Amino acid sequence: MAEVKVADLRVTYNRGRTVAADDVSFEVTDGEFCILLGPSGCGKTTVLHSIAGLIRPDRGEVRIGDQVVTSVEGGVYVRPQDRNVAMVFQEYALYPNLTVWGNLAFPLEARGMRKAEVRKKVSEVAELLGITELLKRRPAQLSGGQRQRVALGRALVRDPSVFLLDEPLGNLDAKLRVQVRFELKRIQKQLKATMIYVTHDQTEAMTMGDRIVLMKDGKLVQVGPPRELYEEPRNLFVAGFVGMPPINLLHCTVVSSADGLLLDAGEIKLPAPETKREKLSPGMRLVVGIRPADIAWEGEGIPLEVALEGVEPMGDSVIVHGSLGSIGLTAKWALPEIQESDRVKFVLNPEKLHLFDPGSGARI
Amino acid sequence: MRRSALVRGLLYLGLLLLTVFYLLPLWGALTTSLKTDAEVDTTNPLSFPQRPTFEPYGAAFSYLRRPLLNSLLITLGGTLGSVALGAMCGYVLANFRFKYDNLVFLLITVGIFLPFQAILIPLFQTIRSLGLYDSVLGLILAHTAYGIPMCTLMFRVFYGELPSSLVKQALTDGSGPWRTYLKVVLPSTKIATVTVLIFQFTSIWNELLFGLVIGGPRSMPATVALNNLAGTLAAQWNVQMAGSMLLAIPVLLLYIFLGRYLIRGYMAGSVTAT
Ligand SMILES: Nc1ncnc2c1ncn2[C@@H]1O[C@H](COP(=O)(O)OP(=O)(O)OP(=O)(O)O)[C@@H](O)[C@H]1O
Ligand SMILES: [Mg+2]
Repeated sequence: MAEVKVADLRVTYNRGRTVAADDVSFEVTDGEFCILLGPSGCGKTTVLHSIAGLIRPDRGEVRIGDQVVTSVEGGVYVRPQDRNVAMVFQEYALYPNLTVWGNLAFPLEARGMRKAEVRKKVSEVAELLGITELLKRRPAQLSGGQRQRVALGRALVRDPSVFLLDEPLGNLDAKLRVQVRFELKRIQKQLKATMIYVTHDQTEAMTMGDRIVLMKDGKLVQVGPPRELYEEPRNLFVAGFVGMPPINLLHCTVVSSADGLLLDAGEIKLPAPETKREKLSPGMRLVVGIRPADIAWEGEGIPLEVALEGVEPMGDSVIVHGSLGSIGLTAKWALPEIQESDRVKFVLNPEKLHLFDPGSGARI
Repeated sequence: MRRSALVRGLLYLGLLLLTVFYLLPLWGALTTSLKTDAEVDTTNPLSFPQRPTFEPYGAAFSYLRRPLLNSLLITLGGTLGSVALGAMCGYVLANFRFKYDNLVFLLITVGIFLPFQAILIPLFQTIRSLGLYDSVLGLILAHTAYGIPMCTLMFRVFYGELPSSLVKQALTDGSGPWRTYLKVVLPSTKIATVTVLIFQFTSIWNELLFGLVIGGPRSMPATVALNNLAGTLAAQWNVQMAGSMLLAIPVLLLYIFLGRYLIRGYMAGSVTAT
């Protein structure tokens, strides 16, 4: 396994008219599970294909291990077949003419592995992914989930420098998804594999990643461990993208009062967090973010009486939608159920508020 | 309901009449080819032969034996050559980006729109200076070159229907472009290949002008020989028609056995779904 380094990558399509990636730089250390996260069309696949060598970027450098595999400035370009990366494509790309067995064996045979060893490896991987009974079938005779597992198997059967996975679990049903996700993470740890994993599902990103690279419109927005993106989102986009249910956002004005600075959102007035006080001044406009999980049902903090709008039971937890005048708030409580009534108490902790500049969206 | 049945009936009737009209010459050729010299002179060309005979076939075959063999060699060589090279071009143009790729594609396919007649004289000069005038090899070469544009276009369209991730996947799996072509692309597009093979076989088999210009007595294809037959044996309609039937047989057989592929190939879906 190897580390991967992407530096100053820029990729355009349509003769420069579509900028799919720009100024993208990040590092994946050896054995790390790195998530490329972002909304649809933000350039995740483009970055992944640049690492694989399927796209020749307009600018920048890609390093795998200690080898520079792409360097536009240095005139270096190693062909994809010589990079030793294992790729799972978003659209599976199973070889339609080959059986499942043939698909799994393909990358091994392409590298000239001996027959006996190919047989051993293929049956190991088939066993691991539970597709042994499917080995004789062709891709057209498989369900979407089965195809996805075959595509995954075709990558896992190899011993590459890095795994590049483009939404490999997109088509699995919820149960299988959790199962394969867990399995994949286990395999990754066991092999100490370097994996770059593309997804637009933030739950997947939070649960699997050692590090998340969050992209938007072809640019990096924030790079860091999942907790960091959750607890210290760099801007409004990150705050809104990471976390489920989504963060509550309130437009406020800073006002001074006898008790110090207050964040005034109309029906709700909250004391400004101690740690942020010196950055605030009366009259300033802000966006306040409150994580649903940071709203408690009891304990210390600022209690709010809100009208109950709805409850979503999740089994082990509940998502509670409340409103205060025109303001809607969502809370997530680790309770199996709540007493349904007209009004509930939301308890806010002012130190857990996230403050953002409404213009630039940057964290304050 | 009844109205639409009536419309449909009329439509079928119309189509039937047109089909009969279209097949009439073929029918005439078939009946004439089975008649004796005497009967040809005295009966209507469309009438059924009173005493069917295969003698005209014997006469036509002995005259066309060598040209038919030439035709077979030229057609097989030209078909294989143009299909193999066109497939390579189509594969590369469909899957790999390189500098001026679109220009290259344009320049190749412009060849489709070049009329035969426009290139006859330079072709003749080239073939003669290569020392290939009146040789089967010269004709194979000419047909190969002339067929590449159409084959390239068809293969590029067919290979373009394969998901592009398939070739990319094979590359990242460590398989080079050649291996990828032979192991993945070719086996996934069998119908496409058959379609282009039939198309090329038919065009080359039926072609007359190249054979006339760069062929000679030794390398003459059957189309040219048949044409000459019309001149030398002016009155022997039955022999000429028998020759025509002989010439049509290979192509007819091809369509009977492989025609369903051709139809599927022309109607897209020529590629195995993933
Ligand atoms: N071959 C192409 N030609 C032109 N534009 C392209 C091409 N491929 C991608 N794009 C554009 O580049 C941008 C980034 O695309 P990309 O496929 O990398 O997004 P993505 O993050 O993988 O999206 P998704 O989550 O939907 O897969 C998009 O705006 C897309 O329309
Ligand atoms: Mg994508």
